Amino acid sequence: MTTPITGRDSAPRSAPAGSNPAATEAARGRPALIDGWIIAAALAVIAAYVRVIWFTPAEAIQGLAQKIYYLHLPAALNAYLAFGVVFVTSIVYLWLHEERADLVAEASAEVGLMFTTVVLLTGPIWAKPIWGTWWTWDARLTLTLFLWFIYAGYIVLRGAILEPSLRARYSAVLGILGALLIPFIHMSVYLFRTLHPMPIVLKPDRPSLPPEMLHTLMFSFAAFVLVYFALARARYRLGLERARLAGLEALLEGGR
Amino acid sequence: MAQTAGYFHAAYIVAGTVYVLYTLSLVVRRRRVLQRIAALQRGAER
Repeated sequence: MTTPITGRDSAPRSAPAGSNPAATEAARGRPALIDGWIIAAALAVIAAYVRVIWFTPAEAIQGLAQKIYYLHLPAALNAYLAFGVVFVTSIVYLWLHEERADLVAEASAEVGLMFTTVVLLTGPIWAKPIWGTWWTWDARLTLTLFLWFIYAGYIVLRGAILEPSLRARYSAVLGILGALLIPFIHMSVYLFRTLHPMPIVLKPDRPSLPPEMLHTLMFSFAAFVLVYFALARARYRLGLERARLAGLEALLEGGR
Repeated sequence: MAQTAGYFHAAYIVAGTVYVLYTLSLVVRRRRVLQRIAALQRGAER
């Protein structure tokens, strides 16, 4: 990443346009809006969709609704991954006061919230034909909804605090506390009586899926990891450019 | 086998829509920030 952080609380370096990609794009006013990583992620997801729809057998009892699993589980695992990154980078921020760690946490939290939204939308669509209800206040479902609210609060908090170091510190604490919910969500099917199916992949013994279904699941998971990486990277770049804009605005305000 | 194809298609359309809308939101927000930076740079040069 060559774009310097000019800091929300510090003046930017007055680098000439053309010295970094963002400045060149900004000067032209026609930025490269979709990068190669997003295109690669989109192609991987299309390939995963094709594999799920045409090359994976339907489950004998649930029918096609079982294939929602290839969308729901990778989204859940990527939400865990995203909030795990928030957890680590928030600790790094509190420890080293490194602004890049705060921006990575911000990016990862937003993408994790998007994955959790997909989990909370696709789960009920599967539940309706299988359980006969869209929603039940089951421990796994309820804790996942709480996780969504915590990270929605995280995003709102970041928008509400204007002072950069205070914003980074408060949101790091919330980001760490929110991620502590993840082990409880994963273990909730063991700890409580729940309707939610038990893990059939992430469990102590071998996955209990037929090989063709397991391979599709792994393919889909890999595609959505690429989606996580591509979107978090794009969101991180947006954070850098916002920091640069804030620095420029501060510089111009100071010059008046 | 249960007839659940409608739910399957609905889930894939809903998830695809969330991913596409989020990607578009990144594109729109980035374009706005870059345009604002360009406008400030033009203003500073004058």
